[in-house]
Amino acid sequence: MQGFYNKLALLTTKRSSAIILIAIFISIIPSFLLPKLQLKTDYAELVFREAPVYQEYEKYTNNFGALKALYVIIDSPHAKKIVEATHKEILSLHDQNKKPLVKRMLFKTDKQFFYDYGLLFASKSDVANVSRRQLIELANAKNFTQFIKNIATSLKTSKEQDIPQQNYVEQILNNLNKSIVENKLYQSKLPKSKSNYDKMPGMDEDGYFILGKDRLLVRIYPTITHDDYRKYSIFFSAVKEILETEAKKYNAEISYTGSPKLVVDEMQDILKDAGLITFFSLLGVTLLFVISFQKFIWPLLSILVLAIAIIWTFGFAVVLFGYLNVVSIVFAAVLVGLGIDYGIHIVQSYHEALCNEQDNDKAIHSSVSHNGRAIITSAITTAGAFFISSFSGFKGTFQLGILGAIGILLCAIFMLVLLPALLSWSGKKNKHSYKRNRSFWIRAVHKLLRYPKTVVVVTFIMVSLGITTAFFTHFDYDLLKLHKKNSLAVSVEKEITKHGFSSRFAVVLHDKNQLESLKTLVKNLEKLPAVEKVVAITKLIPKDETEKIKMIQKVQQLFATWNAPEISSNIDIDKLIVSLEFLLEECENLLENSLSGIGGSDQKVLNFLDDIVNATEELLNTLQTQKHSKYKKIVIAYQRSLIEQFHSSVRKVKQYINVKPFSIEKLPKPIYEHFIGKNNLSAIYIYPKNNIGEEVHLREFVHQVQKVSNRVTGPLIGFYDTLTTMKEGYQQAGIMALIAIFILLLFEFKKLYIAVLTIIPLICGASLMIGLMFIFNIRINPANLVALPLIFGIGADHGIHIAHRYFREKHTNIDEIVASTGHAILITSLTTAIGFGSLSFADYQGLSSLGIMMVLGVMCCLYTSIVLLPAILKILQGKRE
Amino acid sequence: MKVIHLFLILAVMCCCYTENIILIKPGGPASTEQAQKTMDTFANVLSKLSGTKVTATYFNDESPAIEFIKRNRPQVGIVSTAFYLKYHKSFQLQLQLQVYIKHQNKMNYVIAVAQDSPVHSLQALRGKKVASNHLYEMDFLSHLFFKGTSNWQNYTTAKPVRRPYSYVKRLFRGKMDAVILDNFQAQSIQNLLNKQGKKIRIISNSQKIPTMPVVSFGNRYSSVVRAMQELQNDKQGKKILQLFQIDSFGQVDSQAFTKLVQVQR
Repeated sequence: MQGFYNKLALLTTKRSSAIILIAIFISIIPSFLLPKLQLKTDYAELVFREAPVYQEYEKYTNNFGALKALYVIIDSPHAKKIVEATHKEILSLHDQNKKPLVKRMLFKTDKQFFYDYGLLFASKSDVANVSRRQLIELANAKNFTQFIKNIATSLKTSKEQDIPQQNYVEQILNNLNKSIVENKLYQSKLPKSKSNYDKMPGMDEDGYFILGKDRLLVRIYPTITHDDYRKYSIFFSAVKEILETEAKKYNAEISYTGSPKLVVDEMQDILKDAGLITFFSLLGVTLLFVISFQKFIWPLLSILVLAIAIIWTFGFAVVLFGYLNVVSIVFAAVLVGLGIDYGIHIVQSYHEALCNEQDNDKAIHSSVSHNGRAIITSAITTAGAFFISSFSGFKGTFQLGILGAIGILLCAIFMLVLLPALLSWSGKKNKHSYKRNRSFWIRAVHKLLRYPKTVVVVTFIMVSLGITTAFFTHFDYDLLKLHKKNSLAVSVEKEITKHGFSSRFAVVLHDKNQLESLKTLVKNLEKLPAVEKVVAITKLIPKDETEKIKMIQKVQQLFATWNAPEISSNIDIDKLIVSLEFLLEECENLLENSLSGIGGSDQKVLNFLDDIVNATEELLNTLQTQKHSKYKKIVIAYQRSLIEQFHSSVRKVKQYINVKPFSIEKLPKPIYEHFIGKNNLSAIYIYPKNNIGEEVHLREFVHQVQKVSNRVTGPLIGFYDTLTTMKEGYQQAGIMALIAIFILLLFEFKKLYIAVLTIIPLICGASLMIGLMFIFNIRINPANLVALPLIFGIGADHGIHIAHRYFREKHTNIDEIVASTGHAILITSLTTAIGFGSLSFADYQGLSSLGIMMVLGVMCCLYTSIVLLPAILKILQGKRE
Repeated sequence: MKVIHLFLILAVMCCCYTENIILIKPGGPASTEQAQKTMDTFANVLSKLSGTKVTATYFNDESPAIEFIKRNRPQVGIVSTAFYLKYHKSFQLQLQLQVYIKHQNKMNYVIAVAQDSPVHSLQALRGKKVASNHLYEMDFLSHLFFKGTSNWQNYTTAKPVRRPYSYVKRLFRGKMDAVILDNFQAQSIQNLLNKQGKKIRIISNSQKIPTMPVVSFGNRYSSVVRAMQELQNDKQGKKILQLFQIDSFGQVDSQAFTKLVQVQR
């Protein structure tokens, strides 16, 4: 086999020009294919869509349209004007293919609906209050004296349990007393109904959806049914432009969130970060190269070869898949990180040979024949790991696995064929003398290796701790954490979640005609401890409708024909005192009766009556101790203001009193369409109770809901399913890759103990990385998960190079191995660390965590390959000797 | 033909059969007429639950209640404990159920004075003014506090009143020296006084006695008694119990009554 690498080395120097020309020529082929490569930014592309959750999701989108909306919050007193002026234009938006962009826009609901059916949605006690005639009787009072008499009569005829509902009486008495004493009008506010029959929660009096005062909420549903960056980007930009243009006129502030905005932000942040980071990482890698080898041309040539290998991999991507998805697109970064390492090993060896005063071609021969086998072994092992990981069951990593494997092999081949040819071609012109500089770090490693046993013991303790922390490391399911810090869209998303508008929910579809089973399903879902609320059409069916209609009908005529009586502009104080004494007596009677019944007493009723007794006594005292003329005016003003309030209450009820029998079809169209789709399907929306960013809460929610209905779908379920498949896929792939690497090492070295020693840097490096991640509180998330195959590749690669030097080449001077191969590993690690480390400065927290994890992983593997493995080898060597 | 006649007569008898309930609480609120609406609701619920026509009448005075019993011979009565002790022999009252208040079937009476009152013991009350709605059953109350050695009429200026709270208020104005309350009243009134920063002080507690029993007149089975037990499981029944401010009509503690009868002898 070594003969092959010798011949290869000879070929690369003798036929360097031909190899270069052929390589450039054949690189033209994939270059032509490149424009055909598509980027599918649709997240649905990451999963195998045969799973029931996605089938059900398709069913939803086919029947209801998009599930995820763009949430727009307009902060302005003119928010309604802005939305009214723009909604038609937004609804008529089209893409380049003349297809509509917006499915529906929710910002207000039909007010007439509430006039017709509102009272049916009120609580039974509120309807009872309306039907009790008390309101209309109090509103019929022409003066305060009559008003007090009516209250007394009403209390007398009320059932004991209804009495505390009339808690405004005490306030009315106290405020009149206060008004007289201070000679200043204190108005009493009438109690509000427990249930608002004139509006739903989160709506203002005109039916607009609001989050607060002058804070309008608009939900815009695109026609896009899957998270697709490009489509979302077109939709969002178009909507934003229309809204912002109108908002400028009123100086209004608009904020956006929801899946379309979050996906657009995420991709834009990634693209922005990627551009800057690629530039700085290339700069850093080149500088490192130049400093290490004092040559500018070598890194340039290595990068050129790498670029050709990557172009070829792109060509394979076109032929095999025709497109890349949002996960497989990172394969180029993976190849830069791993592929450049082969170049570094070649250059390092080449540099060493030149330092030993070999001529250029001999140096290339030496480099290729020394590194050829190690590079090929390493490439096969890493490619094997990538290939195996493509069968993880997660479609996102399938492409990455295949392309990663092909790319790694291509990098190795090009680095072994083209790079030596380029070095030969460029070296002929330059006749330099080279000096070997032993770096500070290598000198430090040599010092450490004087105490191999200590190194091994300390490292294994740290590795054990790292393995222990693996049990406490959890996968982070909170995708919002991946966005850039202080992201406005994320904070708005959190705000709307508090108002119950979260885009993180589950959905169950059910036949709308099977109302009873629908109700049972909703009830069962509501009982689940992990469920905060269930929103379904059954919630919009008024309870006790027949009973309520009967109650309302009793007073319908009374309200319909009611006309506000003239409020007296005078008051007879003596008569008022008599009516107050009557009220006092009635309340005292009620209180005493309650206290001497056959059982105990309702403390609420007692308190209420006692309060009225005290307030009446106090008011009577004020009225009787002061001159009537002194306070008469203020009593008259108070009388007018109070009775007018009752008039307006009756007027409000009057609007709603003509209730009609309800049916689901009568719901306002946007609300109806939210719950009822085509084919008689009804959607049930289920919201989680706890923070679903925590895996335990998310899992609990999904499992509980799935127990009630196995057809549950929705963003949260899809998200859980995708991430769990991804996580488990990577776990499986990791184990499979480890086994594959081990088998390949066994095959390569033919001895079990060498295979075990070779894999040590990988296993120990990964364990140390997990320990450090635990210390720095970095959790594994969907963004940094991709670092795992990289670390595997790097760890395996380093181990192979050291083991190859030691066992294959019988190079027994470990310090020498560390100085040469170790130096190459140091440079490859530093280039990878600089390349990925620059990601840690990314705004997008997902990329940042990937960068930090990579730096930790690479540094740990560097330590285990150039310190731990040589230390073990030294101990074993010492024993043998 | 005779058989058919007999059957028809029996059918008419069954349809016309009515069970009468009497509720006797001397010193209780409202008059018989005022309470009739509530009693009708009570009777209707019991009719529904028992399948028998039921009528119910309330008395807050002993004499008209006695007259009613003699005239109408009711089947079931909810009577005060004092009434039971006094008439259980003459009317052959059989204990059936008992009223449960706040999960308890026992209660007691207390003598309350104003927090700063100079009266600190029952002995110190001699000759003072005492009021209570429970004094309508003065003998029983005397027995509980004086154990046969005296009675409220001779010992103090005792006044039976139907407005216990207004007489508690008089304690603080110095117009009354003590008020006798049951423990439930005392708790409720203290809660009301707390808002005004006032306190009553208990100077004497009676022994524990059973709450009001439900009795049958004679040894007769009544489906109404069973219906009364079911009230707590019925929606309308619950409302009635809430109106009476009791939890349920539950199992009677016969031993407690027997003990009380023995002590009284």
